[in-house]
Amino acid sequence: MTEPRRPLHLAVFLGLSAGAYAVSLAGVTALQAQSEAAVLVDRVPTAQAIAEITAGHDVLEASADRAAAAYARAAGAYDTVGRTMVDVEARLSGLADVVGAIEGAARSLPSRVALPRVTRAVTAVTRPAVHATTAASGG
Amino acid sequence: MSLVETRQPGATLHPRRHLAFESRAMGSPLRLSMVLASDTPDILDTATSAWLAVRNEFEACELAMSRFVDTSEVSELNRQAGAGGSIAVSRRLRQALAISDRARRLTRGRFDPRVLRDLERLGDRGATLDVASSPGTSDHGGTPRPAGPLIELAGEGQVQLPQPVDLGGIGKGLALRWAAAELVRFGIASFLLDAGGDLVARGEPPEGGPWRVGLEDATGGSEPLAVLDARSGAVTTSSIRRRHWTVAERTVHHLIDPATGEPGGDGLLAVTVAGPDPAWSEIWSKTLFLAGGAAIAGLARARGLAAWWVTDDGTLEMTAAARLRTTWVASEAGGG
Repeated sequence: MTEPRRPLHLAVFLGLSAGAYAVSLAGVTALQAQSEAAVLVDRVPTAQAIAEITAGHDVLEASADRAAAAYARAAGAYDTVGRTMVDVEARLSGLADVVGAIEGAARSLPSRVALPRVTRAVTAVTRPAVHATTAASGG
Repeated sequence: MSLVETRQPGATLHPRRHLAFESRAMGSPLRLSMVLASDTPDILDTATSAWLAVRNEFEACELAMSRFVDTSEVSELNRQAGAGGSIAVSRRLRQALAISDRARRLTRGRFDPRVLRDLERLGDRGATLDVASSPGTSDHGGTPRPAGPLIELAGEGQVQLPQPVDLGGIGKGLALRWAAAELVRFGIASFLLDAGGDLVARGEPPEGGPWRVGLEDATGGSEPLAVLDARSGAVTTSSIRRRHWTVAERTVHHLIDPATGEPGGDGLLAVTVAGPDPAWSEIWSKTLFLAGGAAIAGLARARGLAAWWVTDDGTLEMTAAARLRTTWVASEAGGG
């Protein structure tokens, strides 16, 4: 019985093909790596700009937060003043009522009041000597 | 001039010299009493020079502001009034017109010297003023007054008047103000200057205490109705006791209400005001008089004035500020 003959050339062919593939793959990989490195280098300024814009946005956002807080405080103060104003207006209204009542009472008073005659004068009893007399002109 | 030597009570040294001068100015007696504390040899020269300065001041004021002097500045200005022409006036007349206009604004027109045509219409004539060519009369018989100021400035020192003015009362008040300033300039610290019943006082009389001023009985009596203290300031009176007369069978007087053009002050015979300045005291005494008996108390008290007034029944009334300056009242002492 004879042993079956093995196709050695096939094995050699497969080996050579695998080697060629490996070499090709290595070349392609090297080219890709080189291309990606170049792309990365090209993207550096853009990335920096993006980083700066991001930082500016953060600052702007912080300012907006502070403005919102200030607005909230102002609105709170305005509410407080508004409540106080309402109170003041109510008090003024009450005061106006009091003034009106006083005016009404004042109008009802007589323009002249007859006082009782003073029987004991605080001035001198005897007339002091005078140095001059104030009088009508033309004398 | 009379020289009177008096001594303060209790004082034995350095008698105070009391000098009195008398003359006439602006149609009234002009009297000056002065007290000189120092007894220097030139005391009489100083006093005489001061008196001369007072007389000169009154003469200058009369030539500037008297409507009874035909050649006075105000007479000339009055003749030009309403014609649109402007003339140069002295400092005195310019100040008198300015203070009159201020008083008109302050008193809301109650004090207004543009009543000369009404006075002339009622027969109180001064210097020549062509009344026949004056504007027509209003419904109440008085001359209508323009709403604007009584003086219009027209350049440096030049003024024009829309309507003639009577500066009699305020003129005397200003003469007293400026004459008193002359006395102070001469170093006279104590004096009483009396121009026909309007007074300015400074310092003390020779016997000490305040100068005492009698309040004339406006009903015609010879005794004063009250005695006032005048330590430093002015006392002026607006009264109809002397200057009243009869026209068309009715009694009229010289205190004209600008609102009506007719004699004002219903219910009053006289008003006296004491204040720091004679010109403003004069303004307020006339203004209060024209307010009349019904309104005088409210106006005087609202203004805080020391004011006395005599009603047409002879009753003396006064403000609280006046009461503080009153030493003696005839009716309270049982002598009135």
